[in-house]
Formats: sequence, C-alpha cells, structure tokens
Amino acid sequence: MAGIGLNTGLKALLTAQAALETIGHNVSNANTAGYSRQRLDLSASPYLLVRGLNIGSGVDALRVMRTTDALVQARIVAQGGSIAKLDARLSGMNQVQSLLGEPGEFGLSSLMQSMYTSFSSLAADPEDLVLRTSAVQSAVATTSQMNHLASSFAATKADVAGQIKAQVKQVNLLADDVVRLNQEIANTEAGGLPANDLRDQRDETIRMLGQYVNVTTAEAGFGKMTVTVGGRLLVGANRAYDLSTQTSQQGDVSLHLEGSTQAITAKSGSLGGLMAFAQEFLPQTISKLDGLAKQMIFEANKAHSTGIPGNGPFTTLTAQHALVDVDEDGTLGDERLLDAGLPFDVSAGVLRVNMTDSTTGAFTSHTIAIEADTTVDEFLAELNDIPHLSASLDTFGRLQLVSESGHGFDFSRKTQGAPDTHGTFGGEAASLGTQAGPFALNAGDTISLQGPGGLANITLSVNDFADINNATADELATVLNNDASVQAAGLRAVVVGDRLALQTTTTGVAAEFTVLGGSALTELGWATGTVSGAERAVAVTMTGAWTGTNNDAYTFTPTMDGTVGTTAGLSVEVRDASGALVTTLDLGPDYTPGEELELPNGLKVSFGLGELSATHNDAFVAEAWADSDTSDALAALGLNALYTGTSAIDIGVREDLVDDPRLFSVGTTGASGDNRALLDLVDLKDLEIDALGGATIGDAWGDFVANIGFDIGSAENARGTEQFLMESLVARREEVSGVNVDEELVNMVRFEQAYQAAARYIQAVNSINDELMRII
Amino acid sequence: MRTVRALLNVLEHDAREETVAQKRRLALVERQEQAIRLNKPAELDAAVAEIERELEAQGPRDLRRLQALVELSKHWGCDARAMTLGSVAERAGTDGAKLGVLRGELREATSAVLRENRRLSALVRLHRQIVEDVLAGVVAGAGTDGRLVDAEA
Repeated sequence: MAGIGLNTGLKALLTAQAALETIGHNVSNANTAGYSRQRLDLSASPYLLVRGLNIGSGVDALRVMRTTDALVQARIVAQGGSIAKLDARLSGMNQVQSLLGEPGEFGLSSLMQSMYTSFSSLAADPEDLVLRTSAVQSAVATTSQMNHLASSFAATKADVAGQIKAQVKQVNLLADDVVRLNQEIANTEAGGLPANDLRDQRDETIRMLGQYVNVTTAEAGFGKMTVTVGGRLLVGANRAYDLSTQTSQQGDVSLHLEGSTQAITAKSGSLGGLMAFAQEFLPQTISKLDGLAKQMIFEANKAHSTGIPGNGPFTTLTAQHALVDVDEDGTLGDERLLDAGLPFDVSAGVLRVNMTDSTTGAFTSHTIAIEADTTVDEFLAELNDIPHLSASLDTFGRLQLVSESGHGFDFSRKTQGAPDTHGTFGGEAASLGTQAGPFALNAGDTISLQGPGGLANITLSVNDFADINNATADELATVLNNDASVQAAGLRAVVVGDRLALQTTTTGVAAEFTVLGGSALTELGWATGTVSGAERAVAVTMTGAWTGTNNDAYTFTPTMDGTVGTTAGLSVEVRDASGALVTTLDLGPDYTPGEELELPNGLKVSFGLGELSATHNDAFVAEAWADSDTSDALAALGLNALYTGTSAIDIGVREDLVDDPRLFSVGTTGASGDNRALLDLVDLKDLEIDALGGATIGDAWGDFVANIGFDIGSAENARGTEQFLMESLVARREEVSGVNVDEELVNMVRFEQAYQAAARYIQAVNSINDELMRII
Repeated sequence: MRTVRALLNVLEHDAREETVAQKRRLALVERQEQAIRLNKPAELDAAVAEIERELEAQGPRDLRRLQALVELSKHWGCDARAMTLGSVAERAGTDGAKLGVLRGELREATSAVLRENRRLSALVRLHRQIVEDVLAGVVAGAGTDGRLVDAEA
C-alpha cells in the first residue's frame, strides 16, 4: 500500500509544511466542512479502491525518485561549477603567489632590505665609489624585480585570456553535443522507445558544461532540454547559440552569447573562476603593485631631488615628465602648475633654488612660491628671474634648466654661510632698517631723504600697494627703488624678511644719508637724523645643518648699539618666523669675535669685529630649511630624480646615474662626507605614507604578500567546504535511490523542521562564540 | 571587593569551564553534521535539543565573567568593556601567565566551534534547499499547486 503510506506521509507533510504556500492552501481546505472525504490528487496515477472509496495512489514512486534525483543532480552540477570556479581561481592565485617569490632571496622584500642596507652603508662613507655603485645597483635590482613582477602579471593576464578562449571553444562543442542528443532523444521517444542511455549522456554533457560555466536547464517538450547561461540561451530546442569572447584594448576579456551584445557574467565553473581572476584578483593585484611602485618613486625622488650630486651643483637638468596642455587650447603656459598633467601631485608650497658661483663657491638662495593658481608661465618667469639661470620647456613640454657658465644650481637645504646678504647687520654701507612690517601707511604719505647724490622726496600712492594700510616691505622697496630721486640720491632699499632697510650704494665711513622727515617715518620706525657707513662690516658666518622638522627663519637683531666683543651688555636676540624668542647671544666683552655660538637644531653662528646698531634697526635673516621643496614640484617634474617611471612596469633607476654613480645625490651641501640626502632615503624605510593607508612601503608590501596568502588560504578553505558539500550531495543521491519513497518524504518533512531548528541554533552558536572571541 | 588574585582565579576557572563547554559544543555540531549526512532526522532533532540545553548554560558563565571583569576594571581604573582575557593576562604580569595559557586553549576551542559551525551552516542551507525543492515539486504534482478534489465525485 505504497500509495496509502505515501498519503499518510503526505498528511504529515501537509501538516508540518504549513509554511509552504501550496500545502497551506490544501491543509486549510482539508478541515473545511463538506470536504471530509477528500483525496489528494497529485498526479494522473491510477486510483485505488479502499472500502468503497477512490483513494489516489498518490505520487508515482518513480516520478518522485526522478524528481528527487533530478533536483539533486542539478545541485551537483551547480556544486561542480562552484568547485571548478574555485579551482581555476586558486590556480591563478597560486601562480601569482609563486611569481612573488616571497619569502626568498629574490623577493621584493629581500631586495628592498638589501637596498636600504646599501644606502646605510654608503651613508657611513658617502665618497666611496664602490659603495655608491653598490647602492645604485641595489636600487636597480629592486626596480628590476618590480618590472619583472609587473610584466609577469601582464603575461598572466594574457595567458588567462587564452585559457578563457580555449574553454569557450569547449563550451560550444558541448552545447552542440546537447543539441544532437536532444534530437536523438526526441526521435527515439517519438518512436515509443525509452531513451535512458541518451538521457544519461545528455546529463553527463550538461554536467561537463556546468564545469565550465553556470548553466540552467529546462524541459522544452518532446524530451528536449534547453540550457541557459546567465538567463540567455546557450542551447535552444533545435540549435546551439555560439558563446564568444571579446577583448578590450586593455586586454580585458568578456563573454558574449550569439544574438546579444551585452556581456554575460560567468558566475561559476572554471570560466567563472578565470573571469573572476582576470577581472578582479589580477587587476587588483596589479593596481596594488603599481600603487606601491608609484609611492616608492615619488617619496624617493622627493628625498633625492633636493640633494646635491657628488660632483657638485648642476649646470643643466631636464625634467623626466612633461607638462601637458590639459585644456587643449594650444597654450601650455596658461595651465596651472598644480594641474598640468604631471603623473605626481604638485602642492602649493615653496621651492628653494640655490645659485653657486663655481669659482668662489659662494651661493645665493632664491625662494619661489608656488600657489594654487600659479601657471606654468609664471613658474618659468620666476625661475628666469633668478640671475644666471635659464628655464624653458622643450618640444615635449619638459622643463629644462641651464645655468650660465661659471655658475651651478641646486635645490638643497644647505645652510647659507653668509646670511647677511645685504649688509644690514653692521654692514659697510650706511643702513637704516625699519621695524617689522606690514606697515599701516596712507595715500599721500611722504619720506624725505638726503643721500650722497642729493635729495629724494617720495610720496606714496595707493596704486603702488595691494593694500596701503597693510603695505609689505617688498612693495615699499619696489616703490623706493623705482623712484628716480632715490636712485639719483645714491640710495637703495633692500628687504630683510618682513623688514625694509634703506642703504647707501657706497660703503665706508664716508657713506652716509640723512632722514629729513615725512609723514611715513613713525610707521616705519624711523626718526630724523644721519646714518653713516662703517670701515669694516661685521662678518656673520653660519655653519651646521638644520635638524628641525619644519622650515623656519631666524631673525637676528642687536639689543643696543655697540662693538662686538667690546661693549658691555651687547647681545643679539634671535627670533623664529613666528616672532618667538629662540635665544639671546652675548656679544659683550666675554665674546671673542669669530667664535662660533650654538643655535638650536644644529646651526652655529659667529660674528666678526664691528659695530652693531639697534638704533638703526640692524637685522639679518637666516633661513633654516628642513624641506627645500614643500611643493614637491621637483619630484613631480622628475628633476634630479633617483627613479624614473610612474608604475611597476616602468620604474627604473635614472640611466645616467647608473652609468655614473657620482650623480647619486647623497648630500645636501656638496661638502665632503655630507650624507643627509642619503639619510632621508634611508628614513623612507620607516616613513608612514598616507597614500598607503599610513603604512611604510615595506609594510605595505608585506601586507600585500600576506593578503594574497590569506586570499589563497580562504579560497582553499572555501574549496574544502564546497568539496565536502559535493560529497554530501553525492551521498544523498545514492541514499535517495535506495529508500522507501513514503519514508523518505516523511523524513524530508521531519528534516525540514529540524533544519529550521538547527539553523536557529547555528545562528545562536555563532553569536555567542563571536562575542566570546571578542573578549578572549 | 575581591582582590585581583581572587578575580584572576575566577577568570581562570571560567576559562577552563568555557573550554570544556566549547568541546561539548563542537561534538554536538559534529553530531548534527553526521545526522544530516546519514539522513537521520531524529538524530538531528536530538542533537539540536542538546545544543539548546548547552546554550542555556552559557548565560551564567557570561555573567560571572562580566562581574569579574568589572571588578578588575575598578582595580585598574579602566573601561571593563575594553578588557579581554588577553589584556587581563598581560596586565597581570606573572600572575596572569596561567590565564594566558588557558586563554590560548579557549581561543583554539572557540575557533574550532566557529569553523565547524560555519561548515554545518552551509550543509544545512544546501540540504534544506533540496528538501524544500523536492517537497514543492512533489506537492505541485501534475499542476502548479496541490489541489483537493472530491473523492466520491
């Protein structure tokens, strides 16, 4: 009485499975008056006559078995696809991992470590040419490995594209097989013969298709079966539709089914795995490697670009990276420097350019301010304003700098040896300084002077200042120096930080000028009277290297009038850029002229014999540079770079530097033994970089390698789970084939309930254990 | 208030007890897995019922541990919510050495349960879907829904 037993089983099923919509409907009707003697008609199976009642024999056992078997079979096909996908993805990931060569002698970690070790060794003896060569070669080895990895990844991408194409061919062959089998099954069954063997063959073919790509099957009548991929027909009732690949310019492969231009997504199967590897894992891996290389290039070039080569300042330099006419208006000069198509970012900041006299070794420093709206033309003009330096763009848009014969240039932060460049601190010329600006002047304010060459009367105009009430020392100096009467009087104005100093153009005790009067005097801190020159200037000498972390400027002012090393109580106040008092230097009788005095952060200063005047506002400013290119313009342009390129595929060490390691900028002064630029390069090892999420380059690489390992580990775990599920499915199919159908259905109902309970407790166990892990 | 040493004793005892509980839990999870694989719903029911009892015993242990951590946080002037067995063991120095070892064993046992439970979850999801598909297919019969007809008509 299989049918009755089944019916009993189904009653349990119907009761227990009230949640199932279709069954719920039946159950509610089963309890309705008037339906007391009902039977469940599940199929067209013959009825059984029991005690005069027609009782449905229920579900045909064979049909149930087929249903069950077909469903489990479909799950097995899908599961096989999942495993094949993971296998394909794992294979690619393992390939990438083996390419990394980590940990190992030739892995990037080891090579980077060697490079930093070589840099450190060179820092101990910067002049040693063998160590220089070794340092350069270690950098070459590191960049070569990056090139190798990038090109290997690119080759892997091409290989995967080839594999995808080969597998697509297989899919098309299998689809053709399904079409043929469909037709044979239809023909056989139309003749009233069973086509079991053919159906088995077709099942197997579809299972193989599922190994390549996610397929869904559906009955199409006459024993035929259609196969779809991503909702589109691969096998129709009578024909197969061609699966093909398209490759983009970037080498990305997409899948297309005949009759549709839209790409389909292979969610599982080996094609799914290969596509996921090619479209997700590999591009992400390449992108991370490129990002790492880019940061390495930028940071190292920032350190190297402000250094000075072993053979001294440059006489000519050409940028590696071209500026771009971004707005394509045919004019490059109007582009903003911050947005002129360079591969690295330029920021608003300052760039220091030092011009050195090749004969004397004396140098002058020039500071170029790069603002957010500074154009390429303005930048070039600023560079060209520097005496003995010429700046231009070559035909590719690359910046070229050339110094006049007898002069060299660099961008270092070396200390200005003679910081009193204008002689405004006990100088030989008659000199009168102002108080610190800006100055609250008014339109029509006057200054009346008597210089060696005659009278000078100046009337200030509102047009000469951006804001005359906040007039800067620069603006006022321009007004005075452009005034013909000032020039004729033999006078000139110079700027010392935010102060202005008026000087005679002649020097010596005979040089003098007189402030006669004027409405601007009070605001400038001037009084009427005569200022005289001196027979000898106070020689100010600065030595040492600034060790502060930020750029600064020290202003030196005497506290009284007197003679260095003689006048009791004579001292010099030193204030930083914010005006805060840094130190006071005693230049009274206890000071021996020429003696070096310590300043904070590594600098030293000495003063020669001579007169200082607080009355005449003597002052000089010594710049202290921690970063002589806060705009990063040099690294962005690729001037005096260590590395060339912008990504892992093209990173390299500058060729001329490889040929001549003396060009390696190890110092920032050009002095023998100076290794500060090199130390900056060594410090990069521990530099936490924002663009790398606050990690160092080494740590970022370590994370990169570890993440790949972790991804592989996760994928292997997932594969293990999928395999385990597959085995359980196979076992399930075998069990279903050998059991009593009624019992199986009852079991299923009971399982359905048990699964619900189990699922709840699985969730509960997870929550509790997650919480436990948190507090462990 | 109990001394730090006394509180460490509580946490050590708790960690031992929790590790044993985790091992029992692991066995029950494995029993469920086996029941599904061997197609024994009654066995699955029984294992689930035992898991239920097992989880009921979790509450008192959690409370006891929390109380100990709160008291310790008062001793050390820190936030109890930020404390872990690891940080307690480290802070307690040599006194915390045993707790450190027990914590390692507990972590291993808990991880094993989580791992096995994730596997069970995937298995249950898969088989449940199959059962639902089969039942829906059977009930659907020849038509779209099961339907009732008059047996005597």
